Amino acid sequence: MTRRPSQRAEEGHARSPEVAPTPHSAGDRYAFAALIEHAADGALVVDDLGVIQYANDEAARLLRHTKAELVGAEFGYPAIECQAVEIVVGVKPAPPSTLELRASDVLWHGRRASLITLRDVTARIAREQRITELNATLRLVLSVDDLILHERRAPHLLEAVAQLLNTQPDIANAKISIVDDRLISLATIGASRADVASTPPQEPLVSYASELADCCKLWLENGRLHAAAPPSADACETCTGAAATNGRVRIMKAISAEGDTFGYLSVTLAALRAEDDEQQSLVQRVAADLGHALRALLAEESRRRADEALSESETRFRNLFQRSTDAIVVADADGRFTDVNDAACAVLGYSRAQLLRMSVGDLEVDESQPSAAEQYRAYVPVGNQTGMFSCSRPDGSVRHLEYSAFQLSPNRFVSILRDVTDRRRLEAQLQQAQKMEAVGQLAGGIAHDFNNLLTAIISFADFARDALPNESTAREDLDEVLRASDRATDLTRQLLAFSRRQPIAPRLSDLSLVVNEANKLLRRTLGEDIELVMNLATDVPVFIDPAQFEQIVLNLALNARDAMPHGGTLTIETEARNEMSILRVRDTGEGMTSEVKAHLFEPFFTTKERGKGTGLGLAMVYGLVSQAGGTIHVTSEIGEGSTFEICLPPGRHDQAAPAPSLDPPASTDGTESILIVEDEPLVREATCRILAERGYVVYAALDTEHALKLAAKIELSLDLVLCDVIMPRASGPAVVQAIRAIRPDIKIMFMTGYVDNDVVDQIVHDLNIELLQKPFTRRKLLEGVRRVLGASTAPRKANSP
Amino acid sequence: MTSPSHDPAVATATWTFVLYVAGMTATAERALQNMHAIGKSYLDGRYSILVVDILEPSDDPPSEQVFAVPTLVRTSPTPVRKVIGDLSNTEKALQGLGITPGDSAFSTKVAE
Repeated sequence: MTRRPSQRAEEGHARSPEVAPTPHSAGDRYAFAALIEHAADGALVVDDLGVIQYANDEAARLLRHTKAELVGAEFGYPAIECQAVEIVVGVKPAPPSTLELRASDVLWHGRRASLITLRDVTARIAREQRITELNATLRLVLSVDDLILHERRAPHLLEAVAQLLNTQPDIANAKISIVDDRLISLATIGASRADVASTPPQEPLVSYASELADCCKLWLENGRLHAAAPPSADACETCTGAAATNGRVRIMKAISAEGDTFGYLSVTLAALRAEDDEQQSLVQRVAADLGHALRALLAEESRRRADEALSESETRFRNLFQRSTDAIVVADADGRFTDVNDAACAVLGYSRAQLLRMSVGDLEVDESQPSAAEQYRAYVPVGNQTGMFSCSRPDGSVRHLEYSAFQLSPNRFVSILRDVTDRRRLEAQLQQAQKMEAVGQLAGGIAHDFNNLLTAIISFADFARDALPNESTAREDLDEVLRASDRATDLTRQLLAFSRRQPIAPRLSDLSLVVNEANKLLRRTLGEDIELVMNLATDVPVFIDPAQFEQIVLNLALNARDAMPHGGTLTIETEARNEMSILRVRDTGEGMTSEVKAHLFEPFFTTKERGKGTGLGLAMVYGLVSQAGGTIHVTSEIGEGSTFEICLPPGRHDQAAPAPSLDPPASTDGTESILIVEDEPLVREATCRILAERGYVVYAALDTEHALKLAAKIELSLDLVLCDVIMPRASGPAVVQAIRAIRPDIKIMFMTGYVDNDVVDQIVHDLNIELLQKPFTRRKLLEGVRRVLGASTAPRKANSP
Repeated sequence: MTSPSHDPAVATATWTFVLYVAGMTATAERALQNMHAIGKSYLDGRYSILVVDILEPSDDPPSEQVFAVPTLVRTSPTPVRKVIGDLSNTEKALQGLGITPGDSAFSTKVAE
């Protein structure tokens, strides 16, 4: 305290009891002085230099000095207007107090002075401030509640609340730390104002807990941290919890609800304010509200996610269900359909709306099975089942269905149906084709051997007949042998036809013309009871062997006739449709059972009386059609007749080729040398003998190897090789190649009793070699040989027949 | 807490003042503003004001006796003069600080 020992001060000090501005009389003056001396307000008289001239008791108390200290001290001239001004008296460590200061001009001992009155308004200001704070607190809580009410996203809510708290004038810094269940901080939202610039908001923050001193951690772990003490211990020096030390204190409250702690609300306040219960309870209240809000939001979020997941899974299921190519039906325990997909509608033949009014029992199943309702009743208690059933659709068609059924929920049973009708039909077709192929191979093999035998029989019967005198009765016997051989030849040809190994001479023909050719023959064959109706389209091109096709038409017509013993109508139609050439043969006969239909094309299968049919007719048809690349469809109902529909690939015009000229040569004799290659001794012997009798020089070889040895002998002049196509160890084309390597100019002719189509094609078309079909007659052999060798130059031998 | 002069010509300032406050209360804020107004109007801007918060422990204790704040102390030119309050009454502020209106420089009349 610097006292200014001015004269006025000393004067003031000396006259201190004589306080009386504007006294009127002495009595008044004393009374007035006493009044001022003991006034409830402090009173000072300050001269124009700011020096205290007078102070009453209350002024001394308020200014926290004795009157003696005050008088003469330089207080300062009150430079204020007439209204009150608040000033602060603060002498540490006592808390400051706020005084209301008024000043008015007076004369003091004739000099200008100021009369100052002082009143302690600390309590009033504190009350006012408290009201302001309470209002602010209330507004803050309302704002937080408003945010909680409107913000449905937890991160946004926390961000907004932290921001709101940070805008409060009393709050230096508010942060919300989100912690996991080990109290490790996951994120801190809201930074102190100083931090805002330096910390990007999205930057992940280091573990909050690890930054705290042990005392704070302990509180955190207890989950009951209410207020950190003002910094005092050394530990707090490095503690971020106590970082803002200047009279500030951090209040932390757990953000928790129903035992779950989500994080902590940390608010840094001036120490003065931190001790305030209202601030404590504000932070507590905000933390509690946030806890409940987060709980509700997280619950809502998890519910929403569950809903989304459910809806997504339902959408996925719905898609799978609807788009499945398998039929899926859902039915209740009583079999009523509750849901069906598009494929189910297609397979079962009902609309969705129809099915949803139906139950499983309404489906018609094959008579051989228990009713659908019975089957379903048996299935429901089991829950899981797989199997097959056949179901009639409203249009009458029968579908074969494979099903896999399982129980989805107590009253929901799902069945997945797969239509295997087509697959089964294809399987049956494949089976049939394989069976036919096997039978065909067998038949072909037999025919081959037969042909060799027949060649020998015919040849030797011929030789024997020639050797007999004309009047011999044995000649007629031999003629019978030859006739029987002819029939056997036909039979084997039919077998070969069925096995699709008959040599064919296909050419571009018109199906309608071919059928028309057969017309006359047909009318004669059918008899008068049967009406023949021909519906022939024009221009139905096919690439077929016309002679064989006549056989097909004839065979089908004969079968139709036999199916109509009491007469009827036979309709033959041709048609070009869908890039197919179609022949349809329809009768109005007895029809066939499915049993008969199944075996229809098998060789030797016949429904005719013993001796009336060979069982080869339709087998031959099947073989020929297959060979031509076509298919046969048979529809037949008992009592309603049968229809055979043959579909053939249409012929193309580039397939047209001139038929080879087969004019018989004028003479069949010759003197050329012929090498015969045949492994079958009887055929070889017969062939040699026929040719030798006509003047040819004949060499015989047992196999290819033998033939090549003979061919290599240069002293032999060979003109022709007559070779069996299929022999052990070598096929025809290989023999051709080998012989031509030795004798490039030699002529070659093949003979065969068993021809693979591919081999025929190669020989006849690629190599352009003549093929002699076994069994052959003497005449056919001689004509063929002569044709291949060219016109005869040798004179006819005397001993030839 | 230090507030540098608002006058660019600090070096040549001849008037220096210290304003003692207890936190920047409304009264203190008014006192500072009023003093700046006086400095601009009557001292030609050649003045500086040091603001001292008596509540700030880091600030030095007042070298003058200060009974209550805001108190503005004229530290130069000597002798020291003080005014108390918000300086809302300019006439009294000028009187208390010994500034004669129209007197803008050294030749300020010092009452003594």
